[in-house]
This record gives sequence, structure tokens and C-alpha cells, in this order.
Amino acid sequence: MDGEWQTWIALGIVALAAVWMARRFRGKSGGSCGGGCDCSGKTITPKREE
Amino acid sequence: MPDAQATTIPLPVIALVGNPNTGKTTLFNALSGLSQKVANYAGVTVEKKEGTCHDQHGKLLRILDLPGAYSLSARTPDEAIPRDVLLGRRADTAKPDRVICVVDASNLERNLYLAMQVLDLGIPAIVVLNMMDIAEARGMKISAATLQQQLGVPVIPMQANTRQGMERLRVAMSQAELPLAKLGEYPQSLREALAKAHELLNTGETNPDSNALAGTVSLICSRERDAAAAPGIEAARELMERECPGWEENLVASQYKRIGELTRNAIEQTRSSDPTPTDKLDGVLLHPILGWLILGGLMTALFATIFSVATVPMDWVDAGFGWTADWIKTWMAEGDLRDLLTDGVLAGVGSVVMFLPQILLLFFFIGLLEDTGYMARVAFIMDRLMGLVGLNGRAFIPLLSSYACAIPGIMATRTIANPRERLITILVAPLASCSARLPVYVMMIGVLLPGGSGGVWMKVAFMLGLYALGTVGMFLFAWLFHRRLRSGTGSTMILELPPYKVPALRAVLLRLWSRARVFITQAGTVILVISILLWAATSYPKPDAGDDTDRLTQSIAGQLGKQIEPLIEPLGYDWKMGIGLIASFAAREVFVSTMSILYRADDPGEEGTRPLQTILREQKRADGSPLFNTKTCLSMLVFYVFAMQCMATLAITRRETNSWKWPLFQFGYLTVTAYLAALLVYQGAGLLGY
Repeated sequence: MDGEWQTWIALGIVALAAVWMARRFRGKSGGSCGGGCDCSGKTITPKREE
Repeated sequence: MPDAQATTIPLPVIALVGNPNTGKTTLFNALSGLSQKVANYAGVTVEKKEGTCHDQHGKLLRILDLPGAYSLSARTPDEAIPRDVLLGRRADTAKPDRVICVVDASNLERNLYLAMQVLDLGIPAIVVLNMMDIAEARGMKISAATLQQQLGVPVIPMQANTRQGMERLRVAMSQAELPLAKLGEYPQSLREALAKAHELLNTGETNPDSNALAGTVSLICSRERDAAAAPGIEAARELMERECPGWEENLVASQYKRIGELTRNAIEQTRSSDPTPTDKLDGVLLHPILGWLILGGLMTALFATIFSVATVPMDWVDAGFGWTADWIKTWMAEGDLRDLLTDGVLAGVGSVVMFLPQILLLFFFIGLLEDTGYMARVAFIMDRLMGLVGLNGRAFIPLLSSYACAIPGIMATRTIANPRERLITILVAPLASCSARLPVYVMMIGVLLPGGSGGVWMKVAFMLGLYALGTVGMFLFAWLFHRRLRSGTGSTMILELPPYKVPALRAVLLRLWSRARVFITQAGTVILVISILLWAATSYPKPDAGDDTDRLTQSIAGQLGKQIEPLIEPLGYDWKMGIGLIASFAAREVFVSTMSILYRADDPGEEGTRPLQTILREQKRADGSPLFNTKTCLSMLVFYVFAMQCMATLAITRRETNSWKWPLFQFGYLTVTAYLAALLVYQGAGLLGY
């Protein structure tokens, strides 16, 4: 693959990553726990007995 | 056509209610099978489990598994759910038409306390005497017929785990009319005041019947915030205090008197109960000194296994990523995309995924300990210590969860009724060494103690020391905040120690899979994206000429790193580590991938892809001395023990405290502590000649 094409594809991937990160900071992606993390979002049932 | 029926006519609702650990959920699973739906009760982090089942006549019923509670007098929002559902006070849940009270037959007296409160509400009920086998093993002979005759409702002996008694329960559930329970009388001295309190709560409703009074009693005896906020509750409590001082104790005593009369006739102790294997084990595991020693021994064994066993699969993963990178290098022509794939994606993601075997092993052991019932004993041992620093016993579960991840830990603090105790728990939760720190710890310990030197046991000692340091920090700050915030009289926690059992491997493996999925998702999203961005920051702008080191120094990351270098130099770090610290604010593991990308970027790499720890050990300072020397490694480890390098935790603290003040305070105090502790270690070790 030609070197210049590689640069353009790499820059495209970097731009996509930047957009994803920006959306994450604005809380539009990430886990469903609401914390912006990638946890499964499964809420927990606290068990007093443990 | 039951499904059509479900959509058009509201189905009769049967609620399962009982103490925790009574087999309520086992019974729910047996009744509802695969028709379960799990959601959340609005406003609280408590699961709402619903399902459907058919009665003996094929009629479809809705089954609701209510959260376990010891009493309808709620102390926390999660305890208020059974009370509110049974009183029809929840907009998101229909009031049940019938109730199945599940009681643990081997702990009948304690379990009947809640059951009788529920029966007093006047909802048609069935009492299930579960765990009859355990009661029999303890030499108790329980007469279900006597209980049924005295309570006035069907009483069914069962063993939900083996489905014994299920047929009788289904028959009872199919009865068109269930008899109502024989009501208990409130003490004569309280009746008049209770009637007035009822009038206050129900705006002028006079002459309440006993069922209505039972509802009033459950509300005015509750201390959780929702009930306190309901109109008239405070006024009703004040009225009771004024007219009948000591009314709450009086009510509890009268309830236990009723239970005593019931059980006296219904239970026959056939033989004195010998100490069970659980009793004998508890004698050792809960011993004030032996208990701590055994806990320490188990933790040591756990980390020793992690360091010795996990290295084999870790080497496979590392070799797999290295091989892929080498293959790409031979297959693709030189260029930015090839560099992005090998030096960005594979170096970044691979360096973190490599730690998956260790994390899985850690959670496998924790899962085994939980399933045997030992974790409840750890809670008991720790409770004494937590009391000393002013932490609530209920804080144990949130703090224990925080060793996996602070986010579910902070969410679980909702069970703590006292708002200040809850705030303290939230503030100190990030000090528990979460699984995201494990890759950082393992990498730095590996650099500090290469294969031959020190061996596994030295590494284990370091790892234990780091976990202990975080735990000591957690207790120390909890104690400081407790004194500063004056959290007042602590609320109490009822701790139930379940019998020891052989762990169910399937349940442990399911939890392990869930943990692996979270880790792989994290590696495939956050770490992947940050690796890509970091590669770009280390690769652009491109210099016209020069070697790898020039390219890195002139890149965006290089220039930014040089700006922050003076701030971190006193801790022994160079600018690349500074970039690692900043990047790892997205997720702590990112520090490892950052190190991999930055230090591999100017690695000659002539012999193919080399292990990261080898590359780090070879790094030199300007004066030629090793960069990752003992004091730098120690300083970095201590920094990560205390630092608040996690934006998701900050976001969840913001959500749970409903203000920016506390997350900013949390970030500030943890960052300052981390900086000062790392500075102290680096400079102190320097003075000692390391």
C-alpha cells in the first residue's frame, strides 16, 4: 500500500477516535450505569446479609 | 391463550416477601422459570424481579420477588420497597393481591417478625416454611398444622431448592379465596395514640381497623428518608413520643411476645443441637486473632497464585500480540497505517489485554470465597475495624465492591441510611485498589523485580503491601472525615452468616464471564481509542529529518510532556510518564498502554517486539543512570494507590452526591495525597541511598 494512502487512512481512523472520545466526554457513549465507563451497567442489589 | 390474557386483563399479582437468605429467590425461580424480567425500582439501585406462572387451573399469575427485609420498619430506601409495595404506595408497582411469606424454618422466631407484620396488613397470604431440612438437622420438629391453626392462613413446609412442597404451594395459590390471618392486638396502652397517629397520617380518617393500623405502624416506625418526608409522619412520631414514651420498644416487645406464644406450641426441640460444621468453622475463622491470620494467609495464597500461575497464559497473550505485530510488519509496506496498527493499536491494547488472566484469576478466587460463605465472615471481621474509624457496617459491601470497581461500589452506598456516613463511604471508595490498578501494579512490580531477583514471594509481598496501603489510607481518611463531618450516631447493620457450602462452579464462572466481558469491552473501546489518539500525538507533526527520539520529542505528546515535566520531576518521573499519568485519567489501565506506545516508539526493536518490562528497565536518564530505578518504581506504585485517575468515578460521585463540590473535593484530596506520598517515597528512598 502506498505510503501517502496509509497516512490518509491512519488520519481518518484518528479522526474517528477523536470524535468517539469527544462524544464520550459529553456523555453520549459509554456504559449504561451513567458513569461514562464501560461497565455492564447492571445495577446491583445490595445484600445486607453478606 | 395466556399471552393474550396478559395483555388485556391485569393479572393477579402475588408478591414473595421474606428475610434475606430465606430461599425466596430460589422459590421465585422455581415458580417463574424463564419468564423473568429484571428492572429497577425507580430511584433506588434495587432490582425489581417479576415473572409469570400458572396456577393448578392454568390461570396466569404475576409473581413479584420483593427485596429481602427483616421488618417493615424500614431504615434505608431499599428496605422501604417491600413496605411501600405492600401498602400500595409505589406508582411503579401494583399492590399485590396475595402474598407468599417465605420464612426460614431453622430461624423461625426471627423470620416470623416480618411475616406477622405482613399478615397484620390484611392481604391474603400463604406462609411457606422453607429450609425444613436444615430445621430438622438442628433437631427442630415444626408443626405446620399448629402454625396454620394459630395464624389462620395456609402454612406449607417446603424445600425450595429440591422443589419439595411445590405442588402443595401451587394448590394453595389456586384457591379462589384465601383465608385472612387472625389479627394480633396492639398493646392496650398504645391503641388510642396509634389511632390518633393514623388520623394524622390519613387526614382525618377515624376509627381505623387493625389492618389500617398495621400500615400506620410500619410507616411511623420507619426511619428512611422517603417515609420521613411523607406528610404527617414526623407529627405522628412526635404524638406517639408525647403520649406513649417508649412506644417503639413496647411495640417490638409485644410482637415478640406473640411470636413466642406461637412458636412455643409449634416447635418441638427433639434433641439438643450439636455444633454444626459451620459453627465449628466459625469458631476458627471468626477468632479475633486467628481470623485475621487466616484472612492474611488466604490473600497471600491468592496473590502467589496470580503471580505464578497467570504468567503462562500472560506470556501466550503477549507472544500472540507480538507475533501479530511482526507479521503485519512483514506483510505491509512501511507507512503510517502500519505504524498505527503495530505501535498504536497492538502495542496499546495488547499491553492491557495481557493482564486478563491475572484479573480473571483474582475474580475466580473472590467468587469462590463469596460462594462458600466466607466473604460474609470477612465482613464480620472487618466490621470491628470499620466501627473504630466511624464507618457504618453497611459500608462494607460498597467498599468490598470497590476492590473490583469503584463505580458499583459508590452506587451501592445507597443502602446507607445516614447521609454523612454515605458521603464518607463515597469519598473513600476510590482508595480500594480496583482491578484497573492491577495491570499498573503488576507492570511496575515486574520492572522493579525482574524474573530472577526476589522471586514470586517478594512480588506477592509488594502486591499485598499495595492493597494494604490503599486499605489503611481508606480507613485513615474515613476516620478524618468522620471527625470533620461529625456523622453522629452510626446506624447499625444486621449481619447474617449463611452456612458454609461447596461453591457452585457454574455461578462462579458466570460472574467471571461477566467480569471478562467488562474488561474486554474496556480494552476494545476506551483503551483502543486512547491508544489510537496517543499514537497520533506521538507521531505528528512529523519532523523533516532525525531519528525516532527526535520524532517523539517534537511530537504533540513530546511538547506537552516537556511542559509538565518540571511538575513531576521531583517524583522521579520523565515527561513520558507524565503523559501516561494524564492519559490514564480516562482509565487507569491506559497508563500501561501509554508506556507501551511511548517507550516502544523510540525502541530500536531490531530483534522483533520485545517485552515492555525489558524496554522500561533499559531506559536511561540524561546522566546515564537507569530511569526506572527502585525509588521511581516505588514512587509510581504509591502514586497509583492514592490517585483518583478515573473520570468515570468522578462522574458517578457527581451523580450520587448531586453536586460538583464533592467530586472536585474527592479529586483534589486524592491527587494531593498521591503527589505528596509519591514525593515522600522518592525523596525518602533517595536519602536512604536507593
